[in-house]
Amino acid sequence: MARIVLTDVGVVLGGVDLSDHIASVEISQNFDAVETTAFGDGGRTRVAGLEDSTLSLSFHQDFDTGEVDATIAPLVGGTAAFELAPFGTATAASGTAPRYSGTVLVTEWTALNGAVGELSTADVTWPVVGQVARGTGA
Amino acid sequence: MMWRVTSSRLAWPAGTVLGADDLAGCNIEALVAGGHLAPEKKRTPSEQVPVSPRSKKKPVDPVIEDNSAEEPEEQE
Repeated sequence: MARIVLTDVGVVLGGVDLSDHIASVEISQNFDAVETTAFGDGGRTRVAGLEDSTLSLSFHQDFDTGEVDATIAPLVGGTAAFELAPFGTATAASGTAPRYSGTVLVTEWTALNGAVGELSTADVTWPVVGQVARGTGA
Repeated sequence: MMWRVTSSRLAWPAGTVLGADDLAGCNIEALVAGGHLAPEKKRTPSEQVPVSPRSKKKPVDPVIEDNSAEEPEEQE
């Protein structure tokens, strides 16, 4: 399998494509490890419990109409659907170009962050509500 | 209720008019607040200019100059 260098990840939040203002993305799928160890087991046994995933993004802040702050600020405290396309939104989902989607709870927003002379960025980590879906277009 | 797309960041091009069905699952309020959608005023029947019966003009019969039916004047 070919290694990939991320150059055109599509990130759609609440139906809004903010890809050109996002510098990094991380979807982290985690599951609780529920212990099922019983008498007679030689070691601890576990099964996967509830999913507890997160979405982390690094935005380039922009206060223009229809840009980053105007889009995210109304979502704070609520939920927003997300879609991640590793090869851009124009590339159809397939087995080798999966798309990840779900809903996040917008729990934090750093409207202003940065030091003198630096690019203003906003790094967030939002918990996923429910489960992350992996779409392959099938 | 209809909304017009006002930004270039949605799946539809700017200027597209969408209905609630098109935006199912979207946070419309947030999209409006974010400058991506604007309510599209749909003209309702009550807003249309009423046509008063008085304003209806009866069609005027066209005047046709046709002297052929007239009797010729008597000449002395």
